[in-house]
Amino acid sequence: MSRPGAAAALCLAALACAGCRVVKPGDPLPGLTRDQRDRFQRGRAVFDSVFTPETGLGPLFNSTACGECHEDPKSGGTGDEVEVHATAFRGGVCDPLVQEGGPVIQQHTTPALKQALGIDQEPFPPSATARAMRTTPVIFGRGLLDLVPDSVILSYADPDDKNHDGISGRPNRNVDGRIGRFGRKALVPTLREFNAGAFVAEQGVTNPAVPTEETIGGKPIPPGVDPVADPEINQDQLDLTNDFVRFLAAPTPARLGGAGGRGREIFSRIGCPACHVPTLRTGDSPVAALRFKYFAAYTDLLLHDMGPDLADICLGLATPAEFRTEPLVGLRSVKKFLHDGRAATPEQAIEAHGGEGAGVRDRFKALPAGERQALIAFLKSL
Amino acid sequence: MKRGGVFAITGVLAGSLAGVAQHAAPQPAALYTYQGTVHSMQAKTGTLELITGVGLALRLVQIRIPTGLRLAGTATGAASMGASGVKPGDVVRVVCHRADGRLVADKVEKLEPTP
Repeated sequence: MSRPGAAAALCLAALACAGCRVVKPGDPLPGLTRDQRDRFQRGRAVFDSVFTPETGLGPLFNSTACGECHEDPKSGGTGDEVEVHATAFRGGVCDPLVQEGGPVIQQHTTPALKQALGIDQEPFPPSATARAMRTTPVIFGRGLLDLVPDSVILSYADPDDKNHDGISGRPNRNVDGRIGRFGRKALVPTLREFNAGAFVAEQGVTNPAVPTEETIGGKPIPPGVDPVADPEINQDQLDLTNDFVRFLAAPTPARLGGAGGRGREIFSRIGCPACHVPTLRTGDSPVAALRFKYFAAYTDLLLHDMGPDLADICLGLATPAEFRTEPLVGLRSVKKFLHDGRAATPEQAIEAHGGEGAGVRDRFKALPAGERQALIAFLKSL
Repeated sequence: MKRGGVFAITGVLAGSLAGVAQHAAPQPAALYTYQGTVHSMQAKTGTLELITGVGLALRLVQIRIPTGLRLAGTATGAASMGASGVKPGDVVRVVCHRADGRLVADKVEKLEPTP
């Protein structure tokens, strides 16, 4: 697997002082035009809008606003909500259980749906073979990840581990065959699609890209329960939300003291960059602030087998044990670690790595205490 | 809100329809293209169930496969749709039209992953 270690380090050094303007979590990308900054602000208003049944919420939902979950420390950050997903993995094929309501099991219902069916949440699909808990990821810098060319993602793939380094990343594929990159299992190819799907799967808010509601465990919504005409938001609202999310900057890594600087070196020495690739570069874009930009990503956007202890659901080509390398950008804002929040600290998260991450985990555990602390200080600077 | 049978039309192509709606000439049926993952292929009923969707909002589309329709785009040439032509997990592109309120396939092409 080719890893651009030295080049990445150089790029990171440049990134740390890109114009020497510190970008804080929740800030817009540096270099946006006045019009783009205006759309960022207006998009944030839609992102933070609280929906009600009268404005399109539900009838099934996990949250009433994008910003209800993505709230800490700013809109686009993390949150303490944990949601439930489920799929079935049989004979090596993943079934996202669309016929039983799909992989996202909404945890809330509107009063009208509760009155009609007497349920407080979507029924758990009876055919599921696994349940997954999912925390709210920070979404800073996701507009940059959106523009990393597929060819770059494929350049890091080594599905058969031909270089025998024990790392064998491979891309996931969307249901239509395109390379995926968003979501903990990298099912979704683009940010725009992720956002449009999330409006419906998370809030029950239909939109021009997804004009139909989720079913109730595969059954139709009872008549009269969801009286707002579809789509429940218009194209302008959807576009503004997309602009807010894609214009969210990756925060500038905090200035590293001596320990943190050593931590970055240790991060490389024990092999973390084999999956958490420090720097990626965007491709072309009409938005100059997104075009051909190096940024601190700390992901290869590929699936890796993380071992049986972390395994939960399948999704697309991802087996239960395979997860996309989590981007570490914005890690300083994270309160619960790993896809399901089981780790309370970065140390616990590293120690839970298995499968392809087992070698790095073991090297981390073998470090002297001072070096472990230095590595953690570096991670908390991101 | 509404529970239509057809979700997320990925492409609607009926070039000759434009601007001639009120004229008496017979109109060709609108064609719909779906690209997704095969959920099931029920040979007995001739029904292909396809997983489509946007993001994590996934949808199931049912398409009738006429008897004798051959699978296009396979390396080994045409194969029967009904038997082992497609299986769950395969990615296919289906061109179809509506008849009696149902989607009916005109062409099914199996897609191989492309770099």
